[in-house]
Parts: sequence; C-alpha cells; structure tokens
Amino acid sequence: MLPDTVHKLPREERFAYARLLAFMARVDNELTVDEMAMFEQRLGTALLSPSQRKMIRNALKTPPSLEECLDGMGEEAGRLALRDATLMAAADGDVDDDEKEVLQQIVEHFGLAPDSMERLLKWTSQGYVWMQKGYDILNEISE
Amino acid sequence: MDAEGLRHSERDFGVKSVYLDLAVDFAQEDVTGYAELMVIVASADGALVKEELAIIEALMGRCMMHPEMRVNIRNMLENPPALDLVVSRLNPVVLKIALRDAMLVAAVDGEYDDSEIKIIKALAKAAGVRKKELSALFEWVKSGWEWHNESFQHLGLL
Repeated sequence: MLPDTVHKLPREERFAYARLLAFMARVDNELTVDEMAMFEQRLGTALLSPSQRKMIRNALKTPPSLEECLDGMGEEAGRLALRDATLMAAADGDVDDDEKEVLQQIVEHFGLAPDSMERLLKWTSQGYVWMQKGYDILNEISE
Repeated sequence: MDAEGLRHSERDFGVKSVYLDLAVDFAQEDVTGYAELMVIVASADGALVKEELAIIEALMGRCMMHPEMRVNIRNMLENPPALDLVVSRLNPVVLKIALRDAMLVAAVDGEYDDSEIKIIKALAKAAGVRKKELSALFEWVKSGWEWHNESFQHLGLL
C-alpha cells in the first residue's frame, strides 16, 4: 500500500509478476483468506486490466509451473515478485518449508545474495509489526 | 470485528493471521463508504496520479471488494461524492480505518496537499481522533514509508 514501482513495470511484466504470485499462493495447496487478501491487494497495485485479472484468477485454479512463471521474466519484476511472494507466504503467520523452498529457488534464479530470503522474511516481520502499530495508535484513542 | 479493540483477526486456520485487515470484515455498505472516502482523498488535489490509482486498487483488493463494486468506485474518481454524506453513514470503527488508509493514499504521491490535510482533519474529527493521535498516525505513515523503501535495498533495486 506504500509507494511502489510495480505499476511502473511494462504491462507484460506486471502480468508475469502477478502470475508468479498466483503460483506462490498455491504452493502449500491451501489458500487462506489472509493470503487471498494480500494477493488481491498486490493485483490491485499492479493495475492489471480486467481481462488480465481474470486470467490471473484462473491461474489460481490451475497454477503454472514455477519454471513457466520465471521463464523470460525481467529482473525488476522478478525481484518485486519475490518480495511480495514473501509477504503473501507470511500473511497467515507461518511460512512453511515448501514456501521457503520456492522463495529460495526464486532468489537463485535471479542471482540474488544467498541470505536474501532470510532478509526479506525479517523485513516482512517488521512490516507486520508496523501494521499492528497502526492499530495500537487507533486503539489508544478508544482508551 | 474484534471486540477487544482494533487488531488483526485471529481465525480458525490454526495459525495467527498477521496480515488480515479489519476492512475484510466490513459490511458491504461500509466497504463502499470506506472506498468512497479513499476516492475523495485521492481526488482532493485535482491531479489524480498513477500512484493514487494503484493504492486505491490495492485497498479495494485488500477488502476483497466484488469486481462490480470496484467498477462503481472507479467511476467516482471523476466525480467523487460529498465527504459529509459519506462520513454520516459510517460508524467510528470504519472511520478510524478509513482515516488511517486515507493518510496512506494522501502520502503516496510524496506530499500532503492542503486539500488532503483538510479532509484528513475532517475524518479525524468524525472518528474522534485527537490531535496527538493524529500526529502519531502521521509518524506511523512515515515509518511505514521508510520500512517499505528498505525492501528496495534488500532487492538491489536502489
């Protein structure tokens, strides 16, 4: 929800970004409300056309393979997708081993530093603390 | 909605959800009012930039609004509803969440315009938010912005 660069990517790259998130959403074979809300939020940020959104929602039902998602994907779109896949994986409060394995594969595909996934998980955790802080401020008003 | 106050929901998934926002649980008419407020803030300074469109789409996505409702909201961007009318039909909890997210919408293009500040103050008043808490929320937006920018460092995109 904060200033981002996803919407500045070329249309095809935004679509590839969203397809990778759709893949990530189905890694552990269950799609929680939390993950769905994060997924829909990121689709919104990508400013996809209605027809592209429809295709992406279909990809949730029959997800493409990781190789298909990564094939030909640009560096920037891939890195942003890695970050947002991390946010999505953590949205239900638990990143399982399958999800970590996929995140690590994305890290390696884009030649990022080996500790990238751990750093992004830590960054994600800090973000959720920040969100809770927003609630805490609003709660203080009620007290 | 959480009876103990405003906090992330805890659902029956065996895990504590850390992302799910209260807006997901809003009644349909509240979601509409909430989204209308976002449109009012985004349109306040006259110039609707892509960043504002992206954040409104993101917030509508996070609420998991029905696609047809989103079309109605998009159609309002050129002709937003009156602030007073929307505020009058929303309860304080929805107004508080709307205030928080209106501040994110207002900040997304890099600066708070006077017209945006005016709307934020009106929302704060309607939600019963005092000056001190409003200042804390402005600081909260700033810290979130800094947190988000760190991701570009981790990704080597700076």
